[in-house]
Amino acid sequence: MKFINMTNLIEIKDLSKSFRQSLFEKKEVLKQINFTLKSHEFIVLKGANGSGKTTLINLILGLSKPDKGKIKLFGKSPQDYRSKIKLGVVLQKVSIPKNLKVIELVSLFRQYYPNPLSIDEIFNTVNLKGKEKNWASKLSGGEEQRLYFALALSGNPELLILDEPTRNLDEEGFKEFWQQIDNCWQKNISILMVTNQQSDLPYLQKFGTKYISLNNGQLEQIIVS
Amino acid sequence: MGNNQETESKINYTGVLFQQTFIEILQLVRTPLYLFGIFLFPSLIVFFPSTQNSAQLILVFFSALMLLIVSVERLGKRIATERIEGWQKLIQVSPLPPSIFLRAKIIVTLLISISILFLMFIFGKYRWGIDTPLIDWLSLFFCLILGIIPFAIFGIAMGYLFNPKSVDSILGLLIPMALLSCGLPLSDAEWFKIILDFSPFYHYGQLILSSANIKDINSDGNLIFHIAYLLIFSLFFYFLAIWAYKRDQSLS
Repeated sequence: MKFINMTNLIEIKDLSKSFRQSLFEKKEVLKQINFTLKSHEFIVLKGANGSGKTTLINLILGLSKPDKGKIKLFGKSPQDYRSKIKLGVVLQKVSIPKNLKVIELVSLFRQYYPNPLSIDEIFNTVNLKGKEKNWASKLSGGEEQRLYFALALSGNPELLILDEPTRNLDEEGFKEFWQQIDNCWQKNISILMVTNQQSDLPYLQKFGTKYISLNNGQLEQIIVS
Repeated sequence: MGNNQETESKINYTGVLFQQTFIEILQLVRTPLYLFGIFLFPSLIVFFPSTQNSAQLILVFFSALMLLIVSVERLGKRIATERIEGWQKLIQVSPLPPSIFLRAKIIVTLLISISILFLMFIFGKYRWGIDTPLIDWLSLFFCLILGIIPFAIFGIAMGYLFNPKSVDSILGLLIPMALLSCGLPLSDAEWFKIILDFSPFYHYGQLILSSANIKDINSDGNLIFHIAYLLIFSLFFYFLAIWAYKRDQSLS
């Protein structure tokens, strides 16, 4: 049996976050959240629109700060850029500079990490071979999503955080994406995925060790598959 | 997890800064219309008729104005655009230190500023025949470049506080403010002199005049006083930029 050292990659303790809705009114989006993601875990975060999934992901990534509680990413504050050395991320609502080529973007991102994958390995994994010299702005929706995945993989991550990664994918891209996730899983990469897509469910059953759901600002339904 | 420090030490941050700067330059070169505009405006000074004395004044005035526009517009608008469009979000979830991201932008802004100054000095020397010793050219060059630092930091703060269109509007307001408070003899009133002390444009103007050596137009001679004021403004804008950056993070 393969021995896996289960260390905490994400640790959240008593996390609360609220947003001001008007001058006198605050809405608490996350209430006293406790959560841990260990190495070699695949956790699926579900929840209705506006339930706070993206807020939670933004907090884990240090894109915003909690009102109360503590978050650790690889044992460090997520505001510390060094916490992201072994992390790969695919987010919604991001963009890439339009006047750069695919290869230039991937090369740039590789430089940020101490042990990056080789250019060939990245392009083969995400199936963008032959598109290296294309302008990033000229990629189709599915290809663009693959480029984001390439950037996420460029640092040879131990943890992937994916926010609705299959949203813009066509049928072919969708199958390829799950093939890539399978490859990552085989390499012991831990995954935290936010999804509400029904089409993801059959694939998730293959990997999903835990499903967690955000409801009324609290984490519920921890199901081990 | 414990070997994060070890793996971090493998990152060549100088190489990262070089690559980040290269990407910024690549993006600049690939927007030729913007580049054309940036070099067209200073080239317009060749059409100004001038004597030796007024040529020097026009050259100094245009140089300062161009550097002011470039520092606020280039840094402020670019940061605001990348922030709104989501490129910065992608950068923030990578291990790229924010200081390197900003340093690359400042380096490129400095390179543009230096290129503009070279262009204007060449026009000054060969089109208008400004006859000044090399040491005076160098002194003017360094005063123009170093004096722009507080405005560049101000540009960064604006980039984190406002959207790109608002940065344009702020720049539109800044130019008349700069003209009114740069030290032109508009009024002898005491209150006007008090206001001037609180204008970074005035201190920048005096710093440049002290190095420009223009006949009949001298600075007030308080060079240390103006440098001190510019340092205080730099510090103030620096804290404003840090606050704006943190505010942007908490709002996201």
